Amino acid sequence: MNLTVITYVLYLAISLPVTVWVARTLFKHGGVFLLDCFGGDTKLAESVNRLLVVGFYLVNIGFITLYLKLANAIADVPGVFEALSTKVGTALLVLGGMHFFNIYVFNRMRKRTLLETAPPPVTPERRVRVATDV
Amino acid sequence: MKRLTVFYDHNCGLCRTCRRWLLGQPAYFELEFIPYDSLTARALCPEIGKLDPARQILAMADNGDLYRGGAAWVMCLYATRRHRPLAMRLGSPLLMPLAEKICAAISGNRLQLSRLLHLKSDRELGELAAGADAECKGGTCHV
Repeated sequence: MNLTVITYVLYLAISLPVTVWVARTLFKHGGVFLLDCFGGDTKLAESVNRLLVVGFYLVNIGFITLYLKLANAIADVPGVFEALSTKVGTALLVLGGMHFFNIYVFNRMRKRTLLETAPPPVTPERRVRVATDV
Repeated sequence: MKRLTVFYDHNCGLCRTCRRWLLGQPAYFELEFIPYDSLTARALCPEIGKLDPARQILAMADNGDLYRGGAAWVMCLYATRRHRPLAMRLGSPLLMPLAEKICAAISGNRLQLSRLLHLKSDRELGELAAGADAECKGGTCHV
């Protein structure tokens, strides 16, 4: 057990729970967006929500594990903090980016659905009799 | 809404260009173009004579809702998939008066604009096609 291993353990102990927390937040609150997008179809919205969360976990845990390796061994305790700040900071920024990207995607889907069902923006001047036998 | 019927001026080249452009756009519902002075127009909308269609474009929804001028143009854009967001913006209280003014200006000068831009109307093209020879001699066509 040396300082490098301690740094690795701390890095994983911080990044992985934060990933789980963000994923659960997205799952809990993103469901409302999706329900709106899919016209109240609960089953479909839940299914898409779960699929998106799986993707989120894969991408983020993948990045966190790939980013683990330190270039140089840690020599002293301040070195642990310095290494952690870079690693954890970057991992959180990537998580944040993914999080906002997800919200952007949800919003785009919602806007498209709303646009399809939006009523005309102008009011008619009047209503005329329509011939029904033409 | 399943269909929007637009009563347009078939003597106007600019109107023809707009008609063709709109018909080429992917749309949420059907757009139907009928010359305002045709028998079909009078049959579809018996009151059309009282609505002055020569001055401003008229659009009629399948429930009889009638839109005129700038509002008719906004409805045409609203029908298209790509330009519905623009229609929603133009239809807002802020931009609608401007849209009305621009449409009135273009509508009032449409024949001059068609001449300026060398645009042929449906009626002119119809007459050219009717007057052309049945066979194109020498592999070229003068229509």
